[in-house]
Amino acid sequence: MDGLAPILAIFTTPVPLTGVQHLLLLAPLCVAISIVYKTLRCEDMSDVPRAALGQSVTVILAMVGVGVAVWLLYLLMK
Amino acid sequence: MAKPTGEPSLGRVLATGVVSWLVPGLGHVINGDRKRGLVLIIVTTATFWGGVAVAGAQSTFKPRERTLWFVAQVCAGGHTIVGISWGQALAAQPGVKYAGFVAEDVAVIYTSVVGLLNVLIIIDALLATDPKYVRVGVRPPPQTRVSEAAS
Repeated sequence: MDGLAPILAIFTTPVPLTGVQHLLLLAPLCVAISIVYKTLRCEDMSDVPRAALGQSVTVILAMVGVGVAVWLLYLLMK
Repeated sequence: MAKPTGEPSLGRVLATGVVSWLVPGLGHVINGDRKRGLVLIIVTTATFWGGVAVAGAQSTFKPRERTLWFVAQVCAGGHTIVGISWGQALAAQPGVKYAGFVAEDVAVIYTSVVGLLNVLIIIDALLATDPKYVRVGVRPPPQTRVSEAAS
C-alpha cells in the first residue's frame, strides 16, 4: 500500500497554476473533446485520428483568433 | 464493428444506459464495439482524473458552491462517485490543503466536460443497440461521391 502513496498524492496535492498555464490547459481539453466527438461520429475507427486532429487544430486556432480579435478590439477602444 | 441483429430488448437498452453512465464507453464494449468503447474509456478516464490531479479530489467536487457544475460532473457516473467519496474523506482529515481558485476552476471544467461528453456517449450507446443505426461522421472524398453517383 505504501508504494501507491506517491501515485495517490498526485490526486490529492493541488498544483499551483498561473494565468498562462490556465490558458494552456485548454489545449488538452480540446484534444479530448475532439477525440470523443469524432469517435462517436466516425463509422470507421481508422478515420478518427485524422478527423480528431483536424478538429482540435480548428478549435484551438478559432479560440486563438477570437482571443486576438477581442484583444485588438480592447486596444482600439482603450 | 459487430452489429446486433433484431430489435433490442428493453432490459438490454436499460443495462447499456446504466453501464455507460457508470463507466463512460463500457456500454459500447457491451454492445460489441470494443475498439470504440476502449478509446472512449481511456480518453474520458484520462481527462477526468487529469482534471482531478490539478486541484486534488478535495477541491474538485463542491455540490453546494458550484451546483450546476456538479450536475454536469454527476453525468460522469462512476468517476464522480469515486472522486466525491475520496474528496469527502480527504476533507475530513486535519490540515488538508485546498487548491487556489485557478486550479479549482480547471479541475471543475475538466470533470464537468467529461460529464457532458458522457451524455453524448450514453445517447450513442443507446442508439447503437438498434441494428439499423448508422454513423455519419466523415464524408467520403468528392471523387468517391462522383464515382458512386455514376454507378
